[in-house]
Amino acid sequence: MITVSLTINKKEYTCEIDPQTTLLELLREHLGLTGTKRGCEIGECGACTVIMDGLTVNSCLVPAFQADGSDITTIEGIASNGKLHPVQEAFLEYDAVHCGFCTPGMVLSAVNLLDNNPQPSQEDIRRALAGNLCRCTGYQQIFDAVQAASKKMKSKR
Amino acid sequence: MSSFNIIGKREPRVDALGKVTGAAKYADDYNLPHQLHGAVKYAEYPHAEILSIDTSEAEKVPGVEAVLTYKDVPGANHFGLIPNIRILADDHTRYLGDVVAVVAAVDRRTAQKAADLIKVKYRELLAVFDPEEALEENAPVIHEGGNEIVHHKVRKGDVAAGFEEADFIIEKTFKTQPIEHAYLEPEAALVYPDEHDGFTVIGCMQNFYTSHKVIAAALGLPLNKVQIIQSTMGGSFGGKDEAATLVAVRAALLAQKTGRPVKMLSTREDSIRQSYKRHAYKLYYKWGCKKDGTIAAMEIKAVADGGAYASMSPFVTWRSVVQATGPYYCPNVKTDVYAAYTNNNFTGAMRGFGSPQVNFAIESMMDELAERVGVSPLQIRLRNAFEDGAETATGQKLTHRVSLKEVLIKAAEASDFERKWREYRSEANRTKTFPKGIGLSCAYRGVSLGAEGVDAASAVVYVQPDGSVTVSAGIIDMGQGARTVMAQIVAEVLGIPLQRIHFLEPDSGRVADSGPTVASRGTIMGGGAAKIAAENVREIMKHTAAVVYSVSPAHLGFRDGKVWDDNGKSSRPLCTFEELTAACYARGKPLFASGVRHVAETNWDEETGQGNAYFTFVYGANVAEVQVDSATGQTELLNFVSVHDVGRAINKATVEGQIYGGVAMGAGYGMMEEFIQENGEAKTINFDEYYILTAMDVPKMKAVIVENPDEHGPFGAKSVGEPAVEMAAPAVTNAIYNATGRRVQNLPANLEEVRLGQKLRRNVQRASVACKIEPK
Amino acid sequence: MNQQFEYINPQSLDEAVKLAGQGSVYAGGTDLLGLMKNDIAHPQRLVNLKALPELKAVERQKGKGLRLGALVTLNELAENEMLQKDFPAISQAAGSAASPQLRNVGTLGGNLCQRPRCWYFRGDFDCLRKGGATCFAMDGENKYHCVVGGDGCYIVHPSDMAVALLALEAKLEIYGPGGQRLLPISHFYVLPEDDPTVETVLQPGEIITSVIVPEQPVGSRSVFVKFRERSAWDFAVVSVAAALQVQNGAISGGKIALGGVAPVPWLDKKLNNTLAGTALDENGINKIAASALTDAEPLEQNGYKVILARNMIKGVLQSLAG
Repeated sequence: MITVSLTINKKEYTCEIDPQTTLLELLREHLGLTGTKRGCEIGECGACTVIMDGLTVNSCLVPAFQADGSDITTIEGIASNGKLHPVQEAFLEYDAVHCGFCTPGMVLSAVNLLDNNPQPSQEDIRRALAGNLCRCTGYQQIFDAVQAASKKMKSKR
Repeated sequence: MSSFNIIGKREPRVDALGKVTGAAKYADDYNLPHQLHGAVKYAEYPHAEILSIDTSEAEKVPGVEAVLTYKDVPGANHFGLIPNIRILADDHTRYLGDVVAVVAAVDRRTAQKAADLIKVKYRELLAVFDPEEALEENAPVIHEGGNEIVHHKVRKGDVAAGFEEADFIIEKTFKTQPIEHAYLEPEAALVYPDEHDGFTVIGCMQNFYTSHKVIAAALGLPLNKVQIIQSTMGGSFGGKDEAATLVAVRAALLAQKTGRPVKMLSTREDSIRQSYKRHAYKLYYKWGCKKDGTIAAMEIKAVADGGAYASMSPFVTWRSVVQATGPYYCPNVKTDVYAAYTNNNFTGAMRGFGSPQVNFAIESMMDELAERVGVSPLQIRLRNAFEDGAETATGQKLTHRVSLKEVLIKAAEASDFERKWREYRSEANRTKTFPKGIGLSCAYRGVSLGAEGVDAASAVVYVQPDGSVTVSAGIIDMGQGARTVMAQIVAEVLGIPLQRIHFLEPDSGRVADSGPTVASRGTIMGGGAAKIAAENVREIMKHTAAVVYSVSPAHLGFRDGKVWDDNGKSSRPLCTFEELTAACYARGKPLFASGVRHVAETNWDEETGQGNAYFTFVYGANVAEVQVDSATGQTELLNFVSVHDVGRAINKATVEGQIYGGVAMGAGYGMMEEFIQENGEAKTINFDEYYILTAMDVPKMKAVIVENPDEHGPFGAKSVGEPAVEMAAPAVTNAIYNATGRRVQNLPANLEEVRLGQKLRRNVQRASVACKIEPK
Repeated sequence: MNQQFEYINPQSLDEAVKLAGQGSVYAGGTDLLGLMKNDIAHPQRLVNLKALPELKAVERQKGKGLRLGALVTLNELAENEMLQKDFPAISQAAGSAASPQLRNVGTLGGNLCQRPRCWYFRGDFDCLRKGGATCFAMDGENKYHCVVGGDGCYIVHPSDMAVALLALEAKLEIYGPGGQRLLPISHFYVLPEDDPTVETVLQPGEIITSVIVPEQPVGSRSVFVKFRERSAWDFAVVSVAAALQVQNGAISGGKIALGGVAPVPWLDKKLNNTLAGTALDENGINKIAASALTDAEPLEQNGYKVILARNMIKGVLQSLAG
């Protein structure tokens, strides 16, 4: 067993776990944060995307030990004080959520994009979401939602 | 002008909030204290006789609570349309996704470790991987009674006479590949014993009424002792029928044996290895044509690879035989469609259900015909297209509005098709390094199940004493938006805001068997049932209002959360919806009603293939614009226009969503998707090897909705889910032809196909080889 | 991960090297975890390099060239403006790898040391590379396998970075129990004819610490292009990296390296011998392209790679000429 301390959605956790535990398993199975989804477990679908120290990562490919001391944001930490993030609002408004299984990862990739590049081009959006597969939407409404969220966030700034 | 309040609006989905916050619970998100975890032991040969199974080492592993083989199944170990799917392999293995034994243990790793210790003795049998070979005499027999699963026919007119009359013949062979559904959520189920000797199953089954019957039969229990709760589903596309049932029933058997909750989940590799695929087809098309561009005769043969089990092959190939000639006039038709068992992954339902394969052939042939006659792809289709009152190849007279020409013209206009097509076929374009191309396709589709089965769906609407409403339906939401559509229909009928409606999780004990959520029947059948249920509740309310307010029930209107007296020229509000609700309850009139939508207007003659196959049809047209790298063969999708007559769009945003998603899936089928097997072994078992389009690959898309309301649908609504996907591939390959002058006859149109005009993969799979997969 | 292992976080390079002898070095882990999951790697010990900041630097010294730490992530390489300007092949190769999430984690050193993607190697096959007796790709599904340099084993090396660095004639700094050594990247990879069970010359306990890229002569241009079936994630079907000097419309020096065609990043001799002195006009470009992979011996399903590589070389040369 090893001890891992990390911050998740601004809360601090210290966990005793097997060294083989992935960050995905730590979130889902140990901490009950099931919003992060298990899709392929080889980093090829993006459903398990979380933001770790400011960067999007596939939590299925991050051993929990590697996340020791890190600051993690999961889908459960995107809305604040019961208020949805503009990206979440735009996903609802533009019908970008179908089955919803890719949605947590998509939202995190989109939030991370807008944090670093508040006015992305269509091409920037496609590149930023290239690590998140969606089988339902054909991505179109997701692109529209990210663009709309960018505008909304700009007008609030 | 529409007189609707909510129908047609872009209402946000009723179940989306939990999906953007992470609160939505999918099957694998449910856990119970003391639950065990399941693992499976796979077959080691695609075709073998099982001589013995030794589970003793597995049972000794600390933490293992149960190891089951077919001998431990108390009830039925077989199921399916033709009941030859085994829950646990008994005497034979028939594909490498067969499961020989299952293990329950304290955690996943222990269960897997134990499963790996199970020893099975086999006698290898000759295997066969090509469906045409499987139909030959002396082929290895996979199921008793031979390898032919089904042979459907259509016979109309006299094809010999038709070919005689023809000025020229076009004859081509096409091949389509098997593909994976690739729902992002792999199968999972949690089963727990309840306090009344029964079991509750939480899972992601697309057709949970079928799962219900299979699980109860396997456990040896009556249906009322097994309760199925449908979790939020992470996609299905036809894929979570038998595949998800298998996962759930194996969990149920382990739960019954151990008396503890059991979670069974598939990794992506498990999911792709076990689950069924879209059928690969080989299609032989021969058309006798006239100089004026009309078609005198069509002779068609298609052979589908059914894989190890029958699954939906009889129905899938039936849709193929009905639609094999496309929405085009032809007086003389002879069509034969076969499905055969092989030792490949079994194949079954997938969005499109037998139409994407034939549409690829038909729409390629139609472009060839245009080329021969010297007219544009649009003109040739307009010349042959069905019109109002047309008679199909199965002798069905179309009594609804046949909007094929309308959708074709709209698609051509929205894409500037005629001008671009002419420009791109020029020598000047085709000799460029990056020639562009534009391609057109169209199709018609029979709505819902058709003559293939009983077609009925149910829903329950319950107006609670405070005026809030719960809706339960037998049609489920896999991500397509069915809940939102049904809620909008109920809200429209009751004249209340959508926010007042709450959708309950589908539950086998709550709503009568509604059949499967397939065949693009969610809106027309499930929505139809919801509308009837809401109308039944409204009738009760009307009669109460008539008594309370002394008005005629015939003049009562429900809108804006109020009840109106619409008598004469003026309308006046009588009360709010809540007030009338309270009045009903005060008079002993609970507002609870069910609705059943049943359609029985279809018939079919198996021998001649004549009859009214479907009660109505939808029409659509696609245009793809591509750029081909002539040096490498790489095809880039630039633009896509997809036009669909949906009858009525209940929610424009969800209709567009279905169209966009269908384009991406259909274009992926055309360009890159392929489930690759070698001697029955899946090579593409995760998303690093199985390609679906990424955000970088999808084209700019334009969805055009056409509305010709149909008498059969709620508010005139028909279908869009499968139409959206079924004609995209030939639009892409026709565009490649326009750019290069090369006809793609084998899907997918990947680089070898486009650059070299052929697949480098060996065309003849090694025949009937005994093959062994090296154990680790 | 199903395997048991010990996990260590060394605080110095020397400690890491000492520990790595009996285990696997852990950097980004994106490949190693897949190998463990597929039961190909079974390290008893994972030695995490996370705490070694000296491996994370990007430095450029006048005259000495570029030094890229082995732990620099692919995204850092892709987004580095200096690289984009002066060494575009490096940033292009890094930016074309995998997905944004994987590039955030995957490292330069890890990318160079990836193991092959061959589906027989990754699957349950006792193949030559895993110590077995035979290569299953030879007569199997070999659409993605090599067309040249295969000898008993027909993998292709999956690294995009290696192809770019080979064209730029980079050197690798390797640190191990025997001290430090400097090795041209052209000597780093191993052909199956020499040893079909390893891809590189790294010895137990050895770690790549950095990559040294020489300053390119004035007038040099570099470019990396990659052909793949999807626009994200995929490994190269074929890739081409060129770092060439052009004077008066003709090539005066430099190299073209190919990926996806051989078990190692490939410097085609005839192709590279044809470069110097050849004009960058249509005839010259055709001549160069035609000189590539003349000794190829494609398998049943991968002959298209020869055509593809030649066409891609043409495209690359046209872009450098234009």
